[in-house]
Amino acid sequence: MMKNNADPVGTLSIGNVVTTGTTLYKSNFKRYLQVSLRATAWVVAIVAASVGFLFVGVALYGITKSWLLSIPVILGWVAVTFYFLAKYSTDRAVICRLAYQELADAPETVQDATRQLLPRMWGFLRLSWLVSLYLFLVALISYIGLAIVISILIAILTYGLNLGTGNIAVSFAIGLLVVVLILLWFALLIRYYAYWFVAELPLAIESTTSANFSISRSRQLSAIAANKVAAIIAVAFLVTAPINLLGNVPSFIGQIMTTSQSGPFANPSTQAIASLLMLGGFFLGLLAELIVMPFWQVIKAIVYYDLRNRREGSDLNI
Amino acid sequence: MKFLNRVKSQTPESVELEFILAGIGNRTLALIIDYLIWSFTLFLLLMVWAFLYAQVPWLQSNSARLWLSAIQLLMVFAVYIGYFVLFETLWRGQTPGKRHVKIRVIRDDGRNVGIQQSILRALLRPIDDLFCLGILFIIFTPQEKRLGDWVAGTILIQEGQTVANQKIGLSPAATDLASQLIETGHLAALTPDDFATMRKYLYRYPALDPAAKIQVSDRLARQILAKIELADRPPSLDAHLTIEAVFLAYQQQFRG
Repeated sequence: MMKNNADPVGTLSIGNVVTTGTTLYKSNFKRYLQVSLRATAWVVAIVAASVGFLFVGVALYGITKSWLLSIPVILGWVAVTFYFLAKYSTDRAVICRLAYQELADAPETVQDATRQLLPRMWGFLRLSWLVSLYLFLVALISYIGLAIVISILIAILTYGLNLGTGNIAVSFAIGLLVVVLILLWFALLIRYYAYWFVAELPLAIESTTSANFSISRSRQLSAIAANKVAAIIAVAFLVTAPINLLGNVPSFIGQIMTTSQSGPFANPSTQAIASLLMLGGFFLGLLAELIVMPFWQVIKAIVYYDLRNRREGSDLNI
Repeated sequence: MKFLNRVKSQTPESVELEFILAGIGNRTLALIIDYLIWSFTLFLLLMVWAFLYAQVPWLQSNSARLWLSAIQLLMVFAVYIGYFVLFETLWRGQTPGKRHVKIRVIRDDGRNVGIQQSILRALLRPIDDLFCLGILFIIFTPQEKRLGDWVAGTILIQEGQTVANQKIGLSPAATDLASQLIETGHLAALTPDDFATMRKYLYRYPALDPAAKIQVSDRLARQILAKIELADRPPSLDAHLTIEAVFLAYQQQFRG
């Protein structure tokens, strides 16, 4: 592929990664959505299983009046939840694999890709935990740093320069600074996420079975292109904005309706509409996630494909 | 790139041109850059405006208030429309954002956009931005047109990167080897696609990982030498140098 005079270099620009993502997703929409549906079904299964185990636990307590029996119930719940989560993470990786194989001109069926990846399902679970943990730590530490910086800035501006809080210009300047700092914070988080963005791919494509290796390989591949990957994440996020908006607006309106009308003056019919909106919004949100998730997995596959071409020249063959 | 949409357009002189469409990714990135510049400009203007307001007492009178808000509104509107119209007209279909990502607005028939097209596109921009309608239109229509593009009769294309723009550094030793290869090797066995692959390799070589440099050059050199029937090349020959030389030899013989 990619033999064209308009493309003398054979690598993808930031915008073309995202465009390729939409085209690839559009032309494989049914297949990817099928996997996405299966993945969502595992999440629904976790909720259902949790309710089931709760019932069993309460029923057992009702019969025996002893808390001891709750231990096997909790263990069973944990085991089932882990199993379903591993299945969910694997299905996400299946979409990555399907998209990558398409790019590498070696398309696979959903069944084949799933069969290849199922033996590594615990690896995918471990991987998703590790990446979440890293991101959580980065977010937490930088958040604390941000809070300290903002407090010091406010202290300097109001007390240090002795301007007082009543001054409109000072309040305006502080507001502006805080907005800029928060935007910088988002940029920092995306920049870090860029390092782990393609972490699922080595485990899904290469012969490794180690989650740690997969993560360090993602870091190694994206190390010199982290800014580019961060820009791709930002652009892809904006492109999914219409669907995210659709998924979140109803529940958002419902929330405003309930909070603005709480207290003794709450209007029952408004409350009913708000609850309906929030319930509908929940399902719409799930639907939006169902559609948007494969898009992100496809983008990851393209970024991984492009990074490997850039750094390892895997596409250069005669 | 087979995943990017193409469009053929017929010029008024009946010349058929093929373009690669800009794509949602490039357009979004260009828009981010343009909106950043645009909002910064507007912010500066409003700061100057606020400063004037605070300094000139006449502006604070009641009679001026309505005028002031009208002028302010007009200013925001003028910057919003003016930014895109000004740049697209002066830079032949490009704004700073579009120039950065190497895309351009042209008319459906391949000609440059004029001021009418730019104004129409800019006037419909708020509607396209509303609920991100434009994004959906660009993704789901074959010619990637948002409402403004439909009305103005325009498309967005990627600027062709010509080969000449891409600089490839070749070592001097390759020139000597190339002249030998023209005599001994069966260069006609190489296809234009192979040539393109060699060019990609040479262009991307500096950015490859150290281990990959050895691996890829070795693999490519062996593939090329087998093809031009020189598989028994002297083992002292450096793989990278071999590719450089074959590239040069092919270029001299078939590309003038």
